[in-house]
Amino acid sequence: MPSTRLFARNRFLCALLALLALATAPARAGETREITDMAGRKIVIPADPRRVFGAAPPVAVTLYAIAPERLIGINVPLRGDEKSLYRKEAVDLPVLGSNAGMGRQLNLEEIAAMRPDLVIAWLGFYQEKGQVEASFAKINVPVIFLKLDTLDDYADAFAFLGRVFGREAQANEMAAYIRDALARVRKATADIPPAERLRVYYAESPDGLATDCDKSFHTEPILIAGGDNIYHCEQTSHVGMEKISVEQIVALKPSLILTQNKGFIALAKGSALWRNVEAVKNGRIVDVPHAPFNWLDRPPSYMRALGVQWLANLFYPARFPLDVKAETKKFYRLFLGVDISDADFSRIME
Amino acid sequence: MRLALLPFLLLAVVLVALSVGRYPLAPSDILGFLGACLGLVDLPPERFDLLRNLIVEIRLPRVLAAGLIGASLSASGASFQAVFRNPLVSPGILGVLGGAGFGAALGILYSGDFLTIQISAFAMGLVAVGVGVLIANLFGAASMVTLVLGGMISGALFASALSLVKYAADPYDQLPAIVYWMMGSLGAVDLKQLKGAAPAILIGVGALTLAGRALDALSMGDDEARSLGVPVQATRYGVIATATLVSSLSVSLAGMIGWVGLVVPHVARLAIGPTNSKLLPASALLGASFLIAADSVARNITRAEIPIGVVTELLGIPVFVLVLGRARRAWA
Repeated sequence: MPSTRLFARNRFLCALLALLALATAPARAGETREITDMAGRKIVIPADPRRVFGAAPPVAVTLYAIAPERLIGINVPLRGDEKSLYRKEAVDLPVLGSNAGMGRQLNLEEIAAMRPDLVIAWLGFYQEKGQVEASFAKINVPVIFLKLDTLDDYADAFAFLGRVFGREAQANEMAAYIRDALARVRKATADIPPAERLRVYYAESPDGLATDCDKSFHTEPILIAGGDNIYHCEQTSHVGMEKISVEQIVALKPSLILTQNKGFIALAKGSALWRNVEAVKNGRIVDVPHAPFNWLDRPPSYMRALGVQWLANLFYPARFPLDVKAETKKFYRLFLGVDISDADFSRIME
Repeated sequence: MRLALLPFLLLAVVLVALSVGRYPLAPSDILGFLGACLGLVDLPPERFDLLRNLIVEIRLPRVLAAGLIGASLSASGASFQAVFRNPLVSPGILGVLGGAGFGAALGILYSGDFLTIQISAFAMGLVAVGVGVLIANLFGAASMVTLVLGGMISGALFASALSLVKYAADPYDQLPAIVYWMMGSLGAVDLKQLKGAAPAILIGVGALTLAGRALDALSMGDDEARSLGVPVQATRYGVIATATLVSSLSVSLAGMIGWVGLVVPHVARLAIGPTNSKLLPASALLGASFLIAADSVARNITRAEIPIGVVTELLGIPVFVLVLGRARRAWA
């Protein structure tokens, strides 16, 4: 009978489709596996996480490099003036806030409505691990932690995320880049005697009178690049930005000023307050590139892998020769997924 | 009698403040520099230039700014206390601090340029007081009570607007910069900025001290004052406008510096008595000395600066408690 044959053929087609689906999707929704995260916790996560939320900016920026299309949102708005340097996948993502304890806070209900299947949080900052776990347990989403205290941690974090997303090859390339950059910079600057290290003042805030300790995580790149951050102390607060007086800066004789604030350069050059600061006298005030993400800090990120090379070359051009443009292009392609033109490069370095 | 001593106190504090700092200079360096300025001593030009930079360009503007700001906050605090006949009133009563904080945050959000931040803080401080006065006058002529309420509402309005700006700010650099500004700092003031702000502050403080007599008349009640020929409303609003102007200017120069405007008038009252014609100049002189001293502490104790607002609070609160104990009679 024709009808039975049609039915039989349909059944066959359905089975075939089901088989095809099985064969092409290595891990379907609902399938899970157990992993050990960077906090050493064993946790069951989706085998192939599709909708991921990074709960703090450094985490989200890291995910942006390795799995941008899996992000359900970002923590803070992207800078409007640098749209061309962002990945297309990320430009239209909603701003969901973070658990960073300041600025925009995430709304758990809103996160739940976005149906994430995995949350990735920053280990040891802002909130205790238990608190983070408890808050996302309320909406029944597994949480894994990334440890991102130092630049070396970023290499491990990429290797770890490669396993989470099944992108080992790409992730290992990123991890290898970071390790290699660190090794080269450290090798080039290791044998500089303390007295000969370049004295660097790190100027923050519009008046340039806030800075961070040499042992603060905010200034790690200066240390790695072999610079002597003139402000010797232990970090006292997470946010940092400690006040310092011009007189103290004159006394500490910095040879170079790194600033995060373009307005400060004009201020320092035009003001009698700063004229006896050695770096200002010699015109060595350098603005830190920040497009699309800051190369050194705020937020701390893997951009530092490029930042330390740029700094080492800036501090010691003879010891650490570098084609900054070529390296920047290579870095942006590998980590940020954009091919930048020469014009883009000049704008970034401006 | 005691009033005559205060200028000498101020002079002594200024001299001490000019000779201490984080850059190691011996007293002989200071004397040598003074000698060289007068042509008595020969200094190598490089050394002379460094000393000039440290003493004249770095320390002097800071000391002058601290003096001007201390004087304006204290004089405006004392005049506000007289106008409102309330010992708990400080220069922030009409919302000027809330407005200035909002203005500074807005400047940090949209420009980041130091001068823009200052101008924006100054303008918003005035706007906030304007809004407060407007609210007070919304339903007929303002009484002192509605003025205070209007100022409170306006201050709260701008404080919440500030929170909104903080929320929108970039948490990496803008938000810390806003928090940093709120703590107050005298470190970035240079002679150029002082040239812009000092005349207005000096004229304002001078005008306030001259208004002391009229305020004394007002303290006896509006009718008494009128019978003495004092224009009540004009005096009141004139004093409020002037005090607002100078406190807004000082906030825009150095951020939030709390307690000076509240505590110093009380200490002055204890020393001089409640007569406004003497109290106002005494407050101005004492406030200048106090803030210069507090700033010297802030910039000398540790390598990092202690925020000046913290120092004035830590020094001011115990003083205030002591003064309260002794001054109860004066206000009873």
